[in-house]
Amino acid sequence: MAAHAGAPAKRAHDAPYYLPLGEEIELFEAAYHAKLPVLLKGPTGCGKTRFVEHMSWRLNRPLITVACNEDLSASDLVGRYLIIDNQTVWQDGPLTQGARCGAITYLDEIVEARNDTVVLIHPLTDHRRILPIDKLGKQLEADAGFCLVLSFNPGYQSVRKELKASTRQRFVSIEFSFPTPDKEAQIVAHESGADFEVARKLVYLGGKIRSLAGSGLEEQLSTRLLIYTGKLMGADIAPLAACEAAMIHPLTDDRDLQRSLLELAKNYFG
Amino acid sequence: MERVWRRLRQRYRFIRIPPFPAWAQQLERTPERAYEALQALDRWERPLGFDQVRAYFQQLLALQQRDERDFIDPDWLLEALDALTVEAAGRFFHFCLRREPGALPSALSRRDGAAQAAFEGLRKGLSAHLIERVLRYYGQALCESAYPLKFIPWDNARFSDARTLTLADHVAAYPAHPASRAEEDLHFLLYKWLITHEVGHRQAGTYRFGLADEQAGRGALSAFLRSFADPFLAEALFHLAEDVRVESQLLRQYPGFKADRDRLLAGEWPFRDEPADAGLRFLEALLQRVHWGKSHLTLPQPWRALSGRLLEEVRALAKPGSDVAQTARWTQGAYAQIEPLLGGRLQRGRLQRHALAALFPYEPPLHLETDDSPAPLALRPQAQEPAAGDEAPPDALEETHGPGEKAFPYDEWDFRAGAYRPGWCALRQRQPQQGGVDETLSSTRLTQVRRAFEWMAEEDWVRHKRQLEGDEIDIDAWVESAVDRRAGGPLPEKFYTQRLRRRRDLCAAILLDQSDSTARLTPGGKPVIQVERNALRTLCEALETLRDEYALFSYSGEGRHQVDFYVLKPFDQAFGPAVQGRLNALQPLAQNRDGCALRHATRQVQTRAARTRLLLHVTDGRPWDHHYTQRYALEDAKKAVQEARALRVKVFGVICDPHAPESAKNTYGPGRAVILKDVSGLTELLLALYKRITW
Repeated sequence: MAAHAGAPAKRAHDAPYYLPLGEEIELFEAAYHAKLPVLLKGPTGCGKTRFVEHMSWRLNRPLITVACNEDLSASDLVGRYLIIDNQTVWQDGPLTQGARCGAITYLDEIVEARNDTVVLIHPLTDHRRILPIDKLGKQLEADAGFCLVLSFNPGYQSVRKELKASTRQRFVSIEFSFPTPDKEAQIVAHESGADFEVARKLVYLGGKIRSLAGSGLEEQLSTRLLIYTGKLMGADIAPLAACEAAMIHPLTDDRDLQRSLLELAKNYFG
Repeated sequence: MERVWRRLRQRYRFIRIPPFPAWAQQLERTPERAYEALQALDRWERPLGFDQVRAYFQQLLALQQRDERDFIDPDWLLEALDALTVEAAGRFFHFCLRREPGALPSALSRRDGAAQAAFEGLRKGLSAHLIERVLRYYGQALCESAYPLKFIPWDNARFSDARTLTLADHVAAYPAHPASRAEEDLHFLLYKWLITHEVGHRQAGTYRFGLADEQAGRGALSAFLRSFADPFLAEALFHLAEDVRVESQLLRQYPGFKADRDRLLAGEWPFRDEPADAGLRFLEALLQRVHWGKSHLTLPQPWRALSGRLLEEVRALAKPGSDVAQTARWTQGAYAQIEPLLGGRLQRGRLQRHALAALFPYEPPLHLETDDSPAPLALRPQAQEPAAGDEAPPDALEETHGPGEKAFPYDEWDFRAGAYRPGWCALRQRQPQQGGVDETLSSTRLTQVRRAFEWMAEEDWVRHKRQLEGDEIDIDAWVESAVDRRAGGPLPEKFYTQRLRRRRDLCAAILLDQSDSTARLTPGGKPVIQVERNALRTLCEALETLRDEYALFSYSGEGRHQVDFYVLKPFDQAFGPAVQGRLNALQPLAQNRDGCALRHATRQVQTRAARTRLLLHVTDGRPWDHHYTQRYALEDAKKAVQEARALRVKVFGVICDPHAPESAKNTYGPGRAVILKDVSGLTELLLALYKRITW
């Protein structure tokens, strides 16, 4: 588990960059004010996490992020007793912390967590908004500012990596996909510092590569990797070397596929 | 020369070569008549062949007469004929002719370095099968959809299917590059250009010709060209102009492609044609000036003035926003100006229609039968996936073939078309034969196997005490630490308990090829099927010890409508006398259509919830059935493995044939197959292998 409590949001200054793709900001704000939990669906690296950071800033709420994994236990989320100075001391987990202080609590890639852990969040997601803490024998009522946000990538094919229907039906769902080429180029240019024309070429190349998902590539090429590539290019790495290091090799180990992608990259940066 | 003649007939059977005295004798004795005889080779229809060869002989004979030397060395010619294709021979001769006249003898005898490199490159060339996957992925990504590529021998190339890009299965057009790096190979760039160029035509709207006009619809381009007195000339002009438009669009879209294109243009330059016919010469000169910005051909007036005018006009097509209708208008204008100068039809000789106005060799023709749906075929990228949790595949045919039998349709991959043949195979899931349980493992062997695997089996979620961190406080450790502290001992810190996952969350299916090849005898005199029975039985004991979820399948069949699939042990059945009986009843059956069986087995495994899903394919490595042999069968099996991988089922091949070539492993991917050099060792190999790949 990797969790951190975000520092109190700083308005006006360091707003996390986010370019809206549709009505997701309005949807999220409406859900937040209606005290509804939110589920963000979308492929890896399409901007879900950045969106949550942006909304945290926008709503002026602290953000707690938990990167879920298969070994994440209920104690990891809720809390546990620690022994400090010969005493047992209760330590809140990130979920308890978020509910207590009214944070936006973001469980990233929730399908990676075991189902029995996921069930723990159910009472927080309905009208009760409570978190049972068995070890304390208490039920914590979530603060008015609390908002539970889950993300998952529906591209997972494995039956073990599906979100249970009983969990999904508790959330307002916002679906993310990759931005349109123009918007994605703006994002890549802003985030990587690359020239807009370079960013646009990267995005066009990315569009071509994405068409191989499912028939060669296991995963879609993420906007994140496009940004990484732009950053490497900005650090004076030769464009083709940057494409190989940040785009092609992270995507596949298949030599033939790597060469096909390199030939595509050459069409833009050769 | 008689030897040369014989070799020519033997090697180039598709060329109708006159009897020896009529041609070869004349070549030796009266060069001028030999040239006439060469012209009579009425099926010398290579894209780059006739004009170059004719020019070569013209030059050769002239030099022979001038210098009183004999350039035609039969021994060398034999070597060249053995080494080069007709296209390559034509290009080599032409390359030599384009060099300095004084350098011709040394070039022809390959004494100078450039000629040697040209000869080597043309001898070697590049076969598409070496880079086929690269090209398919590249084409698909460029097109942003499934893109059927077909590779065929160029000698008999037919281009009837407008929806498939047909390319030569081997190209030999350029010198060997001094650097050995594959990406430096001009032949690879040629394939890349051919694909990019064709995608360019599709995306630039060449095949949507006429859709906005009255004569819109299928065949509009063909009808347009037929409306000219000389459709061949019209097509050549249209092709030339449309290439200018498409190339300019491609270079705007893919600025980096210019570097590849420029390298190809530089490589192509020494091989450009020098047609004798005035019309062909004019077209070639125009093409050279458009793409290379220069021409080595001199044109007489008034051709020269016309060339200047048309060049200006055709360059306008390179501007953004130009469309195929503008190309058609340019074609009409150019045709009207050329026709009076030509004084008749274009003397195209025996050139294939697509060879004219082609920028590079091996370029397929424009598809004249334009289509109102020019997008490539929408192919199914992979077999349909079953819904999660379905025990039985959902699309089982309703028809059943006997008690407990069900049939399932499966697609089959046709590598030549680059597409699936939908529902091509019918798989019948049948009841296996039941045998006795007389052949059982000895108790000693059983103990050995169980001991070997016991250590690998661990429980699900084990609670570990005395951890540095954890979910709960370890009360025992806490009490002990309190005692230790009071006694003045060191301060312990490990007083938590932590749950750690230790379960082997894995399921495996073993798929046995039960074809008649399993009747072969091992060096020890046992049939292969008997060795396989023993190996599977032992493996079952190991898997029982591990408590892994597993199933046993076998398959055979006859033809695509009868792929028989047997479930010897389902996942949810314990290993016992019934399963043992089925294993003991295994006998060699008929053929093995591997792709279909792999797809069905994948479906069975794919529905399991285990974290790791393994499919172990025990086979002879030679998929074989009616109309299902060699490369077709291997490519289908390979595709089935790729589909399984996409469904997160790991396939591993165990090839039980010591004579199987190393290439048999390619079906499963690098590090995913073993070839058993001694089939008798199958049991030990299976046990070791299973341990290695699942631990």
